[in-house]
Amino acid sequence: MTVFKTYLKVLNRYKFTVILYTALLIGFAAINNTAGTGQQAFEARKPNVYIEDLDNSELSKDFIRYMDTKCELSHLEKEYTKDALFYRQLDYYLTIPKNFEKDILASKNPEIQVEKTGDFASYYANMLSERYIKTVQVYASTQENVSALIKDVKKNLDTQTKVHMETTLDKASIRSITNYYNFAAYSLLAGVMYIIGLVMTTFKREEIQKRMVVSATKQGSIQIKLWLCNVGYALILWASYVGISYVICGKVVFSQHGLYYILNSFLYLLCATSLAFFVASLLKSREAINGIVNVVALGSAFLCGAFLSVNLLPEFVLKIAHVLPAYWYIQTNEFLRGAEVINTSALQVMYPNMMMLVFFTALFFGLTILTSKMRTRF
Amino acid sequence: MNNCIEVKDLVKEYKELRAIDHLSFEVKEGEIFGLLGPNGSGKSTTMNCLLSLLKYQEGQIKIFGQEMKPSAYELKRRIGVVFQDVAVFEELTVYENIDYFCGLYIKDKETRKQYVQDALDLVALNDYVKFVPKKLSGGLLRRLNIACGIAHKPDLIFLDEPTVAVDPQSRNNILDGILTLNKQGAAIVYTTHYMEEVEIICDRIMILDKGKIIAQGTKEELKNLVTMDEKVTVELDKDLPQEILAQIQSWEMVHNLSMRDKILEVQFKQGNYHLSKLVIFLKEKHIPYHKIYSELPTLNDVFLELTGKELRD
Repeated sequence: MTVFKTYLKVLNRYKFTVILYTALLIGFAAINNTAGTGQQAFEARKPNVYIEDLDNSELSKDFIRYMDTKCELSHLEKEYTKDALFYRQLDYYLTIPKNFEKDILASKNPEIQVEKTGDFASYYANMLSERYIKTVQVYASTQENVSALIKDVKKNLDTQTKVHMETTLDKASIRSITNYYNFAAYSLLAGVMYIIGLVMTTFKREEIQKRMVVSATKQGSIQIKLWLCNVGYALILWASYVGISYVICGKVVFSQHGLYYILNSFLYLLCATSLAFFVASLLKSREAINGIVNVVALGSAFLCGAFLSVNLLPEFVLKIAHVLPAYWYIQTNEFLRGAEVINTSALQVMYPNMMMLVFFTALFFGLTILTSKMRTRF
Repeated sequence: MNNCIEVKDLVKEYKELRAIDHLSFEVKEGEIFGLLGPNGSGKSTTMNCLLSLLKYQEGQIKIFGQEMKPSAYELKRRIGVVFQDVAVFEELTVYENIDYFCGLYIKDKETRKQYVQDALDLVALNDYVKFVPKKLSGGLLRRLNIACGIAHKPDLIFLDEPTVAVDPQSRNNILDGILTLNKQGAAIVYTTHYMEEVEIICDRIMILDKGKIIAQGTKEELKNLVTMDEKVTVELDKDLPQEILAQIQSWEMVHNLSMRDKILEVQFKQGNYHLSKLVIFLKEKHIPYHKIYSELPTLNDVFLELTGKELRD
């Protein structure tokens, strides 16, 4: 009990640093969520389209009919359409030229004129108009009768296919949880390394070690208790971070995706803990801890994409990052961000990353034992 | 009285350097045993071997009749150690530090509480229980260091220079504490550079040099080992002429003399009536003086004569 109590007292002295790392994580997640407001989810709406028909033919009328089924047709006065486009009240302005029908039947390209806002809705409207024209052109090569042509085109374009969405995931929540767990790569590693490093160097001070070696308590017993305390601390820190993720990201934490984020962060925690033990076994003075935590935790967080998306990092940086556990951890998070469903093929992508974390854990653990044995007693 | 420490033919070598050379000695239960020697004489190495902190090449160490080894935990329960360097947790308060180190020996909470209180009383740190070490002065820190080493009430205590760099008040407090512990029945092995401390508290003394025992015994036994006896100092009006000094030097019982800044120092060999002979001589020669006094040899003189160097060398 003495060792446990002393561990808690030492931990209590350094609690503010751990609280700081946690506050950074919460702050980052909060800023991220606020920054994403308004573009979190896909908004299902029809593009607002204004069509000016200069041909006024049977085919141009069918073109308008088709666009009307897919878009909201605007009935603004023509003089206001420019302003409407500027203010995004209108997404797309389409001009059907004179001789539209004639050109189609003659296998010529009609000179369609468009003006668009450049956002998603305007591109969708453009895609619809191009689709109609291309379909008409294909059928026009074999059909000269306009009514029959319209009938064929209608039949083709009205064909529907049932699409079954296997996921009901909220993309905004997934983005939020991915960013949270990516940032946790820094907070977890720094929090674990800082405390384990401080506690182990405190107990490892030569004078204190001597006093413990000459005492009536077995050294092995003290060491095991210290290890258990450190592992216990790391688990509590991780559990708190999982709890905070539920508060920040909501129910998605306990979805199938969320559980894989939690599993991945648990494996990363094991790796961070064994790395912290390894670093602590090399350290002789406590003064070096802050510097090492900054270099290792902050460095690997930057190199592996904990703060910035991995897509924004140069290729050579990512190549270097392969030797860091955080890279494999973040790779899994990023994969989960894009995965609609977690099926066998998804697991085949994630498992190697997770195995890399297990490998790093074993490596650091082995190195810790090796360095501890190499250290002479006094 | 039984021996609490028995060392026979102890040899410790560091590569080609023999730090301890066939050392044999005993420490009796209830005594304060002083371990003296200049730097590098092997005091700390001897202590570390006794505590199983160092492996040794030859010899045997028995404490309370049992062989001392790293796994002798029952034996270690009866031993307390106060190292020269302060060994306390900076993060814990005075009370928590003593409680932690006492807890390495005493598992029962109630007993430990009492023992910690006794240790606080002994080193007079009751007013500082909630202080963290960095808030304590050097002397108070030393006292805390001692309390951490002896709180579990050991039968044998090793004290390695516990009064280094402390103020006189703390030193007196520490020495009183050591005498109290000894009165309570603990045997004490005490190493120090301060000869006056050894003279005050030690029952027996061992002088080490280059890993070998130069001398051991009580203070009186050690002082009998040296050839000189008393030293007479005379404070004069002026320096004595060379022929007078030559006359004093020619006396058979004079070991050595010096004349510096109107102060004459005469060291006599063992014998009687040295002071009166010198007083009569000065009267006959009509030499006035302000003060004349005699001193018996100190342990420092013993040490100087036996090792050829000062203890702090």
